[in-house]
Amino acid sequence: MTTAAAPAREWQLSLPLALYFAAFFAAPLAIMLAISLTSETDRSFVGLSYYFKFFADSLSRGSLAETLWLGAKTTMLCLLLGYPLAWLHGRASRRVQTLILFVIILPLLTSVVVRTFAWIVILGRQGIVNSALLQLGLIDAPLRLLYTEGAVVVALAQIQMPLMVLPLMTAFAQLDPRTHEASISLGASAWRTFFSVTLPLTLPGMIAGAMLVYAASVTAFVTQTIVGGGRLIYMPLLIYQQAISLNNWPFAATVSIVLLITVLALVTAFNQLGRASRGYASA
Amino acid sequence: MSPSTSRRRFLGASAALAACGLAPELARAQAAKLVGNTYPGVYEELFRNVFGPALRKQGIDPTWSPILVVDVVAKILAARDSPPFDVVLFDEGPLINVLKDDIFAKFPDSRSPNFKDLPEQFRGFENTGPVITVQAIGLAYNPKKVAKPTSWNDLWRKEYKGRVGLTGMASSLGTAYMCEIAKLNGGSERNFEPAFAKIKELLPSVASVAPSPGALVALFQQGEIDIAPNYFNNIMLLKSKGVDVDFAVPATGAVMIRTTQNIIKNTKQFDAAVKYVDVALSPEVQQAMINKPYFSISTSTKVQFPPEVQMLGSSVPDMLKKGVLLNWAEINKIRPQLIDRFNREIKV
Repeated sequence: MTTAAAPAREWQLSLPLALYFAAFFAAPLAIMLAISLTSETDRSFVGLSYYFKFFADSLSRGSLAETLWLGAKTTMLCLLLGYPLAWLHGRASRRVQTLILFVIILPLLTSVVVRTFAWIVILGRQGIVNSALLQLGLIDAPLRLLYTEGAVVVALAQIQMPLMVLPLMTAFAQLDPRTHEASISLGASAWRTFFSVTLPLTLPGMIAGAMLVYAASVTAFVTQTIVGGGRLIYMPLLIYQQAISLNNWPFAATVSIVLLITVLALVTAFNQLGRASRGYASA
Repeated sequence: MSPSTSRRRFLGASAALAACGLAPELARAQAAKLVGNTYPGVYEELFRNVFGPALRKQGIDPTWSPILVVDVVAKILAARDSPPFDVVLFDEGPLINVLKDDIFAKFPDSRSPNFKDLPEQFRGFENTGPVITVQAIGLAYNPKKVAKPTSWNDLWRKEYKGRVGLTGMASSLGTAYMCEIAKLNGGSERNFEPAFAKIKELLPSVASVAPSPGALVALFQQGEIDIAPNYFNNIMLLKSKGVDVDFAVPATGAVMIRTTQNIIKNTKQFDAAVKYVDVALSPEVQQAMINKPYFSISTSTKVQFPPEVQMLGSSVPDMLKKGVLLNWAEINKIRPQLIDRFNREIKV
């Protein structure tokens, strides 16, 4: 095969996946967009009226804001807890590395529903946290831990943790240990080395992890409804209620598109940040 | 091993495997396969353990999906010409709403010998299929922690502070208890305002608003709540499994949700479907339904009520006198607004 012939055949290899993508992802998305522009009663064209209805309604606006904020809180918690774990993995011996990897991957082997119900057991009135606090005598009556936003954040952070730690582990693996040694030998303290050398170099990994965790936690219907209960109404529950309980498909499609575009915008912004940070790291 | 030999061997082996896959299908072509839905919880167990064997004796092989009515409607409307279900279990609220969409086949009651055992109120809506069971709604409570409640108003008592469970109005359960509360406070099926006002007062007492009735039952098991509206059969099943829970009939009467068995239009197994519904109405299935441990209320007049069900009535006609049937046609007119309004009221 000559080098001239190779490029001509390359793009055709992606054709099967591209067609599959177009048929089963792009086309349904276009159909959903079309539905969001029609009326719920007779499917006549109504333009952007449902979009206006969405932003005019305080419940929907509130739901969007709370969902995006939930994603942000979960991402920050995940970063706080996942970064040291990835750092440890980077510095550990072979055997400990395998152990840490196994512990990270293990939750991915069980279903999200199972992991979410585990949190019910941990945070419930008769759960592990409350029983421990009661037995230690720190509280008199069980605390209301479940069905609060905090519980949702903590549960989501644990469930999405692998998505944060795995990119970070890759970032740490690519870290040249000599940069660290060089910094120390030049007289920088451990903290200064961390902030000036390690953190900037792992920034691309942090951003990749943050993107994944954000997108996953914002759309995590199962955990939000099971741990959050019926009083915390995030966007996924809103979409479900409109589509299934109320059979208002156009409005459900509208809410879905709004969520999609907002998350896409945020993720793109993150991505640009990631590109810029790579320049920052190598500068 | 040269490449050509191994390829031939591989093709031969996969052809043999494919042939093995076909063979059992040929042998099982006798029984008629029907796809239906059932409700998660008691009904699912009832269907698999009682209804299933009865159907197989009649040459029907059923497959059931445990999903809620609203999901069923969505699926059927999405694929009318080739419906994913042949027979469906439907609550009367959503049923009346969907009658205009013309998705049900007319039920030929002359072909069903057991149809005549049903009282007038249970013969179905617009001839789309009989009512095979009734879900009774009342108050579920933890007898070890709280005294037996006597009325819907008891939810507001101080002893229950922080221990009350509720569910949204997207389900029949949610709509039923809200309607009863509205009626107790000067409202009706057309006016739910008193109920919303009362729920606002109740919110500080509410431990959790479950997203579905099934999740509400789970809250009893987890010890999160001590009192909540719920279905008779779900609570009795939990009680028989040793959970600290019991059922109390409110003074105004238990709300009865008629649940019908309907045949979907364009089903390819119409005759088997008619037999399916008839078996559901047969004395054996109807009696097993109401006996321990299912306690799902039957509708056939031939059924004997066991002692545990006597709190609802001594027989089907007696139960009809004591229970409450709601006017779903009126409620359906405002249902979307109700669901939306409820969300706004209970939102944190």
